Amino acid sequence: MAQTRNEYWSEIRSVYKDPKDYVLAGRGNAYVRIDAEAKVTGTAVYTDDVYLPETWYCKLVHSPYAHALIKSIDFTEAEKVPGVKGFLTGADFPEGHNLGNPEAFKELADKEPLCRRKVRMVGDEVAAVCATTEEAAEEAARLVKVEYEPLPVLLDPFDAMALDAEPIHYPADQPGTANNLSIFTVMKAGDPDKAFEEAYYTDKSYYKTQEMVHAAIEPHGAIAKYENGEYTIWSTTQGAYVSRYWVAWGLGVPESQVRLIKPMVGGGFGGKLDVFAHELCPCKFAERTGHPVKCILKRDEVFKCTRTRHPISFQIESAFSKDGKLLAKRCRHILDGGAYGGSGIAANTLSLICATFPYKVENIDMIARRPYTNHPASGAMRGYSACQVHFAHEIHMDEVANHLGIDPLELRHKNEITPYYTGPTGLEFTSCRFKECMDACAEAIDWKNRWRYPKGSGQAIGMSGSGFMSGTGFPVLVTPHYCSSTTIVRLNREGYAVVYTGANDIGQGCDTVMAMIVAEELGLNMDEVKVVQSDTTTTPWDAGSFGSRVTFLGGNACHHAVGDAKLKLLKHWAEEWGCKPTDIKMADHRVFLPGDAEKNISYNEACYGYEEKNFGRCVAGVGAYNHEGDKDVYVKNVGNYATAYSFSASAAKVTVDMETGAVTLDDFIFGHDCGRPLNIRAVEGQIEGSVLLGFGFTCYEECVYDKDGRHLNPSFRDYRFPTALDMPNITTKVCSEYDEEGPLGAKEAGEGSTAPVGSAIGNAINYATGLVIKELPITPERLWKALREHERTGKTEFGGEDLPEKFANMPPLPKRYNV
Amino acid sequence: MSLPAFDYVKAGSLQEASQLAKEKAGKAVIMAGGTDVILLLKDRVIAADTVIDIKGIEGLNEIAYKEGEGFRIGALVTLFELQSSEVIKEKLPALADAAHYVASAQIRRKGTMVGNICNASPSADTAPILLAMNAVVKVVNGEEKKDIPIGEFFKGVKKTALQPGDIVTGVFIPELKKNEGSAYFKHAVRKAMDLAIVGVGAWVKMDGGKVADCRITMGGVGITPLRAYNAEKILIGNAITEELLEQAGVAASQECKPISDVRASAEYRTDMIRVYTKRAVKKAVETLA
Amino acid sequence: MAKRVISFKLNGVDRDELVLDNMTMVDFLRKQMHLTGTKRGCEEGECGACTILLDGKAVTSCTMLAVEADGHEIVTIEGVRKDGVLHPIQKEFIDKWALQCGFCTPGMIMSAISLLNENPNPTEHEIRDGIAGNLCRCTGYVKIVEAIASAAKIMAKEVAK
Repeated sequence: MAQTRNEYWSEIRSVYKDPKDYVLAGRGNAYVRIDAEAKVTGTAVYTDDVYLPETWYCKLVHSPYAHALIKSIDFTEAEKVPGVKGFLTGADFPEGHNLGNPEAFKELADKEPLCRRKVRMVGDEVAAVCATTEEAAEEAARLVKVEYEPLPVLLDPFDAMALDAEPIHYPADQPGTANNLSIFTVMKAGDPDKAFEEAYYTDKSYYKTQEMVHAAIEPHGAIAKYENGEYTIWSTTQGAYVSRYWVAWGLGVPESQVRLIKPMVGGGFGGKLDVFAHELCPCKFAERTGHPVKCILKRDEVFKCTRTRHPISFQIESAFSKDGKLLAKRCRHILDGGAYGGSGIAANTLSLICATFPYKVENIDMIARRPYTNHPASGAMRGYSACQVHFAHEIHMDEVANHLGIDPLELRHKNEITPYYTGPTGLEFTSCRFKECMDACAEAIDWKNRWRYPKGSGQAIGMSGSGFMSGTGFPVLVTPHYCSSTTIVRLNREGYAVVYTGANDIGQGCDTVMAMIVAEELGLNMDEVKVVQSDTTTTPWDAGSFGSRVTFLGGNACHHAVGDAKLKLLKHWAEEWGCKPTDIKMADHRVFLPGDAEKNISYNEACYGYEEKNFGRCVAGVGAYNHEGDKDVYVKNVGNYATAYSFSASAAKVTVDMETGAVTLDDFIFGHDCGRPLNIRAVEGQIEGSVLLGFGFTCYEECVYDKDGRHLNPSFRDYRFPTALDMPNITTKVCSEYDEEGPLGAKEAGEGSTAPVGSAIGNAINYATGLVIKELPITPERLWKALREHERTGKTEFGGEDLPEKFANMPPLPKRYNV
Repeated sequence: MSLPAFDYVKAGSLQEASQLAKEKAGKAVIMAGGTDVILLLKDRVIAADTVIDIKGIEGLNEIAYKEGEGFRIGALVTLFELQSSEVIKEKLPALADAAHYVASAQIRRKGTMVGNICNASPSADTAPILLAMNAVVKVVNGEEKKDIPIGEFFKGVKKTALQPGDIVTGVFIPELKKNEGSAYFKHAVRKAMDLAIVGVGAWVKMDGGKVADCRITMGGVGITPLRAYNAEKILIGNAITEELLEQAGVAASQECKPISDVRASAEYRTDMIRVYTKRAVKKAVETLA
Repeated sequence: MAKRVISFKLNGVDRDELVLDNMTMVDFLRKQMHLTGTKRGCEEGECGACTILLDGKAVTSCTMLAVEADGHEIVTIEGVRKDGVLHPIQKEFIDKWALQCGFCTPGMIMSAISLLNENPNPTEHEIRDGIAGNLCRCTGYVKIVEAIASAAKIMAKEVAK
């Protein structure tokens, strides 16, 4: 009989190093990133740096209309441009093979590689041009004439749900119910109605967040070649295997005939999860022309036709006892889905999950709807739904505290999640240092003396808290083990090890983490571990970089793989030496029985000896890790979504120019519970980047559209994210304990760390101005407008003024079998 | 976006540049630093078949100061050179500030102040301070030389008083005399790498605690940089008080003619003119020569 | 289309290259010289990823024509390591973990070199000002500022020797 998962794992874990012997994990300066030298010398190869002889170029033709029927496409003028080699339209791809993101929701895949009959957003791809130079391809793309028949443009998600709204994809399947729903989610627990009836304090508030973009400095792109009946693509992807799946599906060829290689990726933040026309069209052209074909998007194309962060409108009702216990939450989230689903559909459920913690709440009644609109498709973005939700819910928390006359920090402490708490919908929390995170921030910012900046004085401090899943269980592709990561580790008798990891390093440094885990367990130096990563031909399966899963799932897979190899090696030597495998240690390039000078050999000798007795076979280990969740969790919306949860708190000090509305972020403290930090500098780096993203989200960034859905600021000049001069100093307080399930005790640090930033800054701005701002971004002009209106009318709450009426008049949801 | 096809000519002399520009009337563009010209060509905002690079022409790269008169800033002096020039920082810091506000250090190391004004963007950072300082644009056309007062130089968005064949060789700026001060403030969302929502320049001459004369100039609130004449009148003859500054700010805000665009609304720009008029005048007074 | 031969120094080597009049420096470096360390991030002077040194001064190569290099000296990120030895700024970027995705890193390093040439002992504010034209979406700039400050100290000691 086969071993159970626990039996197998406990045997592997028996040979893991004792954490007190760690020489690399948790040490800040013990090692550097393995890709650092390549990156500082310019030799690191990104997609656009892949140069193959005789490469031709592809350029896409985009729709200038947000919603229209395609009447005709005319290549006559474009064909005359010297160097033009071919064109593609939607008809060149198999019909019905639409692109999506989670395979489990394949029926929701809704994006044609190139639009056949209809465009749904400005920037939708309608044709592609291939030419011998990039310049010729651009020129020809400009000359492609497409005739459109415009349709009504729906930019407001509430308008899109109206009973008489023009269907963007398909009409409502039940008459009299909301139109244009891409997905909706209902989550209920306890008896919220009763709790609201009995509560001392209840309220109803509205909040709104805006559309922002990932703005990775590397634009999206791909280069493809076609040889021996196989497509090979180098692409700016966050998940080589997932991209490969959709590329093969979009082309209508078996996955065995598509090889996807992820070179260095210049930032993803969720924006490079979906599969795009710029990946499929070069494949098709490569097949047709026999040349490698490259397609790198220009910056305005990245803005207009990749993905965005969902704007969310919130209606939040809360019920509290007199002493500040959170009794119930009733909330409605409306997510502007934009034109397509893709990686965006999970945002809906996630927005509700995020609202159930980091505070204990037993009674909940939550519904999220994601209507389609004619904005660009909303997708996954770092701190997926959490940034928006924790902005709204944490601004709300301070409002409640002020109504109840309880200090906001104390109100948070009264309700904070504690270790090993199980939430009402089945979230199983394990290690949790949320309290410690908040206390560390409060102390560093001197919260107890916060009124040293009187309310309305133009200066203030604000705090907030949040939680996030560490290692999402969201199933992107259907596999035997549900959203898994796999890794192979090979030990070489010449004194090194090779790790073959599917984990996709997009800049966060997971390659370095994988190398460190292997080096730590085998007692090797960092430069004695070679990493082979994210190539569907050479590395094993991995679901990709999303949902803060890489360190936790990929790291555990790697730890299991090296454990598997180590176990084999130590079993061999235990037999030779007449001891137990667990007695043997590996450190400093040696394999030895402590206290026995005779039984002490080099790593090389140990591998050599193993191979000698095993017919020349090398030591190799295979590891995998997955979240053992309920596969139906996303349908039932009850159950545990992740293997562990991270917690964060933030404290911000701001100065507001009361005349101009300009906000300066003077100081920022971040407390994070990431389990054992595998490298303190890497954790700090993630947090510092999160503060930039969160500050941009709160005060700077917004995609602006005209009434026809045209993007008015698709450049780094007009879509502003913070420069070095705008950013404050950031202090990171790691408040962690060893997580029992995490790889070497770690949890996540990349995404959850974005979640509390906006509300800490927002709360600080609110105390500095004496107002309550409920809508993002809080640009100087928006704040100026509120300050001036307050002077004139005494009004104190600003933002989301249109929402009460809109929420009150939403058409009903369709009836669904399982709710 | 890729550049359209054009011929690049590196002019060896002003006469050569001027002659060619005249021959190619309307189809040639003069390039110094090129940081604006190259982007305008990429975006097809200007259509030119010839790009005339004047960087090879001698004698245009000096910041010359003559005591008792003023500064002559050559056409090839970069914004970065201005921002870091000791004599400018000492004797006309508002100009160093204005140069420093433009784009990024990389752009400022290549882009020139003369290019900044010839591009004639309403929000150009060096325009309001040059207008406040009563600068004079020095022009050569073939053998002809002419001076264009800065107040007559800007004619509209991307439009100047320059004629085909005109090559700007530099700008003359009168120095600050005793009891004169100047300032420039830019208001933008980011602290760097941003275009001005508004920019306000000020020059004041004080006499016995009262404003003897002044000029207030506004960028980003009209098709050209504007003078706030009414605000100036309010200040002249009076001692600076908070109330007076407020009155001047209000007057300036009534004189500007902003538009609403993706960067700011007209209402916001108008009020920022009020705020920054006060701040600029105050700073000019506080930093008298 | 017009083209011409330009003579210039590239990463310490004298070169004569035939270039198109309308080619930007960044495209020339990447497509013709295959020096792909200089990145294309926005191609409109707004992100700084394509920053190179022109006669020792950091400029964005997307707002420069290749022909403008005639008679001048260009250094790209590939020319910063000398005789196999990393520049102190490169070394500090590695040691301080001052990079993540690395796409802005070459441009950031070129700006830092130029900054320390002009101002060997910058304050934190001057460092931030010097790299304000280099957008980084990953790091929040904290460790980059730290690395440049640290490199400045190391370089000052080297000069003192």
